[in-house]
Amino acid sequence: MRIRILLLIPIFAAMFSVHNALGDDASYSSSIEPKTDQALRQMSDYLKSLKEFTFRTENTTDELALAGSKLQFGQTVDIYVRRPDRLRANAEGDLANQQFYYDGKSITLFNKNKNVYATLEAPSEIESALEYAQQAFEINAPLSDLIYRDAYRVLTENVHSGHYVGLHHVRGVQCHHLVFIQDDIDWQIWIENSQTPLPRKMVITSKWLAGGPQFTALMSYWKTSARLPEDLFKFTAPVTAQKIQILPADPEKSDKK
Amino acid sequence: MNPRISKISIKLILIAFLCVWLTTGFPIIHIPQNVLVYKAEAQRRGGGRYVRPSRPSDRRTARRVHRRHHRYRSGAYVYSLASDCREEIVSGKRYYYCDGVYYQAHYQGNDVVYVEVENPQ
Repeated sequence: MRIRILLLIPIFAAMFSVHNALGDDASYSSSIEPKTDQALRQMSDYLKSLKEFTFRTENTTDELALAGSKLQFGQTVDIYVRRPDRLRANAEGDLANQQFYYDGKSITLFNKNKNVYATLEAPSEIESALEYAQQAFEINAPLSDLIYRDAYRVLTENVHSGHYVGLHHVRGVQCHHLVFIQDDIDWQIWIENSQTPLPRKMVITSKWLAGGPQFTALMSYWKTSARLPEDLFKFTAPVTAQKIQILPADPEKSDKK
Repeated sequence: MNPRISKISIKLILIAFLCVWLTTGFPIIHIPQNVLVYKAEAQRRGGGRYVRPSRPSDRRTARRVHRRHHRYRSGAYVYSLASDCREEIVSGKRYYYCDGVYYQAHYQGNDVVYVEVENPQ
């Protein structure tokens, strides 16, 4: 009997290690369902293959107001990209009318309502320029996750799990509807079910905040082989506009959500 | 009952229990860690196990959206000025004088804010 029990010990050890290995895969690192992963990768690869493109995104953002009420603000952004080093975004909305310019040398933000602008020197490619602007000044280009050449990596950086919701329509276009679970937020994306797997909609939910405020973006007017004029990316300051400084990112806040 | 048989059956039960326990990954220890997240995700489609995250930061669009959702205010700057502020140009720079305090416009991330400054004169 004692020998039999001794024989069981290595069996237990083996079972335990198998469980641990499975457990690590299943829960302690990202677990994205294969179909979900495939749809997101196809979108990312397709976006990466585009050289010069433009699209419009109609966004809404919830903001928490006094007495627990939630307000929704809208914004329409036209985005123009020429890889590897040109980016322009025109945002018009309830909270701000702002233009974003990147010409391979510098980034300029121009606020039309307040007639002020600020310029900062930036690295020579879209990805590194956006990274620098984000880290040094907390400046972001609208929906920059989709502009990065490696959108898949950027989007899934902090994802714990990803699931396939179904085939659903966004403004008449059939899309793969996916959901991704993160720490403080969940996000959903609708990717066109076709040979051109473009993102058509995105929803981000701050799930632990009271009222679960959401950001919604509806993408349309995709032109995947656009010819964009050079002057689109060059900022020329209006005579009356005032140049202002940019406050550096607060190092304590820049790493927090 | 034969004491020898009962000893063996107790051992068998113990072994069976251990087998189940080990293969299912000590569920008694795991459930309390996940129960909160399970509840929160219960209404969402798609199953699977959710665990507490290893990294506390969400980046880029997600992070910006989340931060915007609970925008903070600092005493050192404001997002908008009162309508009765007076504009003053001092050595080519624009200042706003409101109720005894001077402000200057700055970008703070993508927002234009008004930072409290010393009297420029």
